[in-house]
Amino acid sequence: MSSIAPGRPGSMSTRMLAAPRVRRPSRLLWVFLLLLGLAPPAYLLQTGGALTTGYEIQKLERERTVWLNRNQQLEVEIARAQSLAWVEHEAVQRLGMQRPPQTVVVRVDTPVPARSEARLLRRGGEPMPAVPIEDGPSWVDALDVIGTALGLGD
Amino acid sequence: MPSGSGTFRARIFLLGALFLGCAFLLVYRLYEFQWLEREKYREQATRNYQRTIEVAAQRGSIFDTNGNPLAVTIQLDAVSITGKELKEPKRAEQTAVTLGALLGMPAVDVFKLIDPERDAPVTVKDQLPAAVADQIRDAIDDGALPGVTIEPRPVRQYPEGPLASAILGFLGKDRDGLAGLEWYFENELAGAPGLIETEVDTTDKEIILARRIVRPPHDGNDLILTIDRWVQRMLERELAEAVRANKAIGGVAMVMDPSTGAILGMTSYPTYTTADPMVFKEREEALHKAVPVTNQYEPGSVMKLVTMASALDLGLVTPNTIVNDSGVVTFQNGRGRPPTTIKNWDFRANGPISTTEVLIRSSNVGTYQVAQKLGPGELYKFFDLFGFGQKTGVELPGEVSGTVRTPDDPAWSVVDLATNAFGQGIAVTPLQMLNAIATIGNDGVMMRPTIVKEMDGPDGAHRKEPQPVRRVISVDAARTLREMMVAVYEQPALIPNRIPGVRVAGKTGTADSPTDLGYNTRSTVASIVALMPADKPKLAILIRLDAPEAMYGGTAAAPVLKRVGSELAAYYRISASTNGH
Repeated sequence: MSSIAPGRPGSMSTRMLAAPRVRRPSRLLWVFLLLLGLAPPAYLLQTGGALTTGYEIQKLERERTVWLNRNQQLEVEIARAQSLAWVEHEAVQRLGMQRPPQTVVVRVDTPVPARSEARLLRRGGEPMPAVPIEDGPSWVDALDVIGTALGLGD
Repeated sequence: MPSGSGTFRARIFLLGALFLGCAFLLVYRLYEFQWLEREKYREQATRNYQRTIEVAAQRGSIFDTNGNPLAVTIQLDAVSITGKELKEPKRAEQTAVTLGALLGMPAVDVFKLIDPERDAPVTVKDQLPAAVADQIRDAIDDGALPGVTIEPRPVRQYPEGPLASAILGFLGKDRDGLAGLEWYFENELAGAPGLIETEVDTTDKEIILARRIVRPPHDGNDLILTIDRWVQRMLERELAEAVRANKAIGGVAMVMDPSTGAILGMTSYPTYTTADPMVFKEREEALHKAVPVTNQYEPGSVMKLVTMASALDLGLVTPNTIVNDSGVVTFQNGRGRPPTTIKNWDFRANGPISTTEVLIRSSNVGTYQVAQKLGPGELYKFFDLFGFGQKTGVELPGEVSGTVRTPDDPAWSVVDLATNAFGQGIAVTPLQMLNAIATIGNDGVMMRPTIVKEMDGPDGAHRKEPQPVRRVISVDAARTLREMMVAVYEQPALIPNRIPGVRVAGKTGTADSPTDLGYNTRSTVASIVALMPADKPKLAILIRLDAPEAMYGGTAAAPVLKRVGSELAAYYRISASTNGH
């Protein structure tokens, strides 16, 4: 049978209890470590994303250039198809037309229409309408006319 | 033991010293790399990863007066192959087969271009059709064409074909202008290339995020010409036909707006074509210039208009002033030298005739009489005012000033006064002559000839306004002379060549061709100038045929004017109503 002697202050068991406890790291530290751990992959993710976007942009730019170039090529094709040489070739070869042996001048008392500026190829490869859009009456004007006809106007 | 311990220590010491020495060496090398030769290595490193890309500026286009493109630069794809990337023969063979099939070329021909030692790309084919370029691009993306690259390259295109080739000029292999407007406006058309700095990874692929634009490209200006493609084409066609029909060796045809000096059409024959990919041929070098401003000729009787204009302006003659045409004038050339005789072209004496008839009959002797009234001082002053012996300043390369021998020249004699008055012994360019006629058409005010209407660039449009040069003759003198020219054009001999519905002022000219041994009377320069409509001219026209079989301006050049004038009258809607009648 054993007995335990009443403990004195400063006895071993008390000392054991009072021994310095292993302090658990604070939450802040955990958060800090977590952030520190996440930083490299986040950085890599961000850089990778930026690079992917960069290459995507480059690819799209290249595609845009290809389409712009194609647009220019088509404009030249259109210009070629509208050239006098081609028009004459088509008129003679396909439609069987001939140059008139003599020009007949017929005097007509109507105003001479102004020649339209049909510049097809403009700088920057942006197309320009070959035929100028005429400012005709808009649908609002048309409605206005109908309204007036029906007596709805002021 | 002690001795063994000593040896051990010695060994340790030696090893320590060795390591220390190595460490020292390493530290020294580090010091050398990082400090002593840092600039050299920094440069090498930069060269390794940094690249400078030149971004070509878009060359300006050339348009006609209505905005129809005459010369434009577009990007067409070119496919290249890098031999160093195809060291394995099987891989190279496979690439050659695939690429050959896409290009419609024998695989052997493609294979021949693959040099495994060469790291610079070799062009296999350029100016690819869009569909073929797309197929190749897809094949490259799929990895089916290793070592093959496709890139756009600028190509000058001429949608109107060979139209106005001699005016437009052409580009060399380095895409610099070599002739015509392409050469004259090289700086304006070419623009300035841009610069991009970028970085590459270890596989030499660009790191797109590292791109930095150092200097953006500055595109070239567009030129809008005064040339009308329809007029130009018609002139080219009619002149070529006229040269062939007349068995001539060449010719010139030009149309100008007298009120602005704008050249609406200008051509010479023979010429060259920009439609030919190998446009420059050494044997055709003489053709690679704008003949109407670079070649001079003796104008013949057309010059009588200038002599008459001068006398009318000074009030020395009227259209009805009578001069005595004796048919021959003889000049004594001093002791021991035979006299010089001047005769009319038809060897006939017309007797007393009016100055209008002097022009109608194209009398050399009558014109000399008028020149005598003027005297050398006034005649050469007017030659100068009409711009002979000076460059017109038109925007074309190689313009010459012509040759005018004045009384200040020791070799000048009174014979020159006579011959110069009717257009022999004096050399002018076709443009000078047309501009002089246009001056008569513009009521006596000379305009600066121009071929460029507008320059349109990234910095905005710059429109060239018509520039009056000077008043040469009075309004009255100009109008009176035009009426005299109408009489010339409406004379019975030219009835078959009248332009229906239009009142035309004109004058024919025939000049013997000068040779080293004197004039060759069997080879002539036949020409005609005209203003239409005569009352308020909208067009000044010059037609010239060199050495035509029919010889005379009235028989060789006048029919060409009729065809050209009729076409122009229809195109510009010139009719009796615009004549002022």
